[in-house]
Amino acid sequence: MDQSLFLLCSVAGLIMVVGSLFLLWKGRIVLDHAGQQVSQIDLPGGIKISTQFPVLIMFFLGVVLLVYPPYYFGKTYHDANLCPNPALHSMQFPEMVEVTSNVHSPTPIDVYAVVGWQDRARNSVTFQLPYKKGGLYRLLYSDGRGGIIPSDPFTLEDLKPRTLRDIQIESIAPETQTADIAGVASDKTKEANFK
Amino acid sequence: MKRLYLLRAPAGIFFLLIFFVTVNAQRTLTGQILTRASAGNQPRFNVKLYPPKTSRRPILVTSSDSFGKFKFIVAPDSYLLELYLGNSLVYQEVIKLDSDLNRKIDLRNRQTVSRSRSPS
Repeated sequence: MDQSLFLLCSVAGLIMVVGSLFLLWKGRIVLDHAGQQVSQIDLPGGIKISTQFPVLIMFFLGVVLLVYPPYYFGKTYHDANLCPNPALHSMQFPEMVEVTSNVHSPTPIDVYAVVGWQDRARNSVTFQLPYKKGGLYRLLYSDGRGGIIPSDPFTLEDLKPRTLRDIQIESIAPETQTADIAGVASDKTKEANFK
Repeated sequence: MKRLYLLRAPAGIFFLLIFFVTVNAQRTLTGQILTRASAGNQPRFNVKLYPPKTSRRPILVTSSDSFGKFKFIVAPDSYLLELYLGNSLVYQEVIKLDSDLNRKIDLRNRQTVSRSRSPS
């Protein structure tokens, strides 16, 4: 139905409610406590209402006219937006799920959660990755014989496709040595022009 | 036809010249990583060589051999050299390659415990 009709209806109801209260306050109409004046209202469909308090009829009719349009629209909106889980509206995808595990080893172990891989790649590789704003990503290059080279960590700032720098791998050292040489922290000043 | 035949010699010289200039434009970076392990039993390092990021050239990766030696043939430029033992960075240096270079990298003073794990 036309929304303007509902608005008109609501405005008319508001005028009736406010008007009846105003007239009561001014004394132009009174609540007939004595019951001497009986008013009769003929409604369409042969409905007749008799009351000793016509002002109340006007007031409640005004309330009905005022309240029905918002109620109608509210119900329509609710029916049109049925959602099985309203909590979904407050989520940012992809939602992260915590996965925990225990590693028992005499030596430190690197653990990675992998969401995509491409075996035996020679030239171009393409991955469809879940996007997490500000999340750290890495590519791991493996020759299939145990040696692994991780790429430098990178972040995805938006949903645009991202091309990483090419890498030319001659050989990868097999993972046979324990880290008995103390590692060093990467020097950002040295890396500035290269990474 | 005879003229074309005579042109072959200068053209050959020209291409030889181009070839030598191109070959000369490459620099060789060789290196040896020294640890406490005996020669022939050195740990294998992953060696990464980063060209300047503005050059858009690929990152080069190789591994050192059992004598700790590695080699790159690259265009003359500045490079970031990184050594990795497994996934941990153990050495980082900016190298300017104007001419062929042989770098000895001594990690003996950084070695805490000398032990190795046999390949599975």
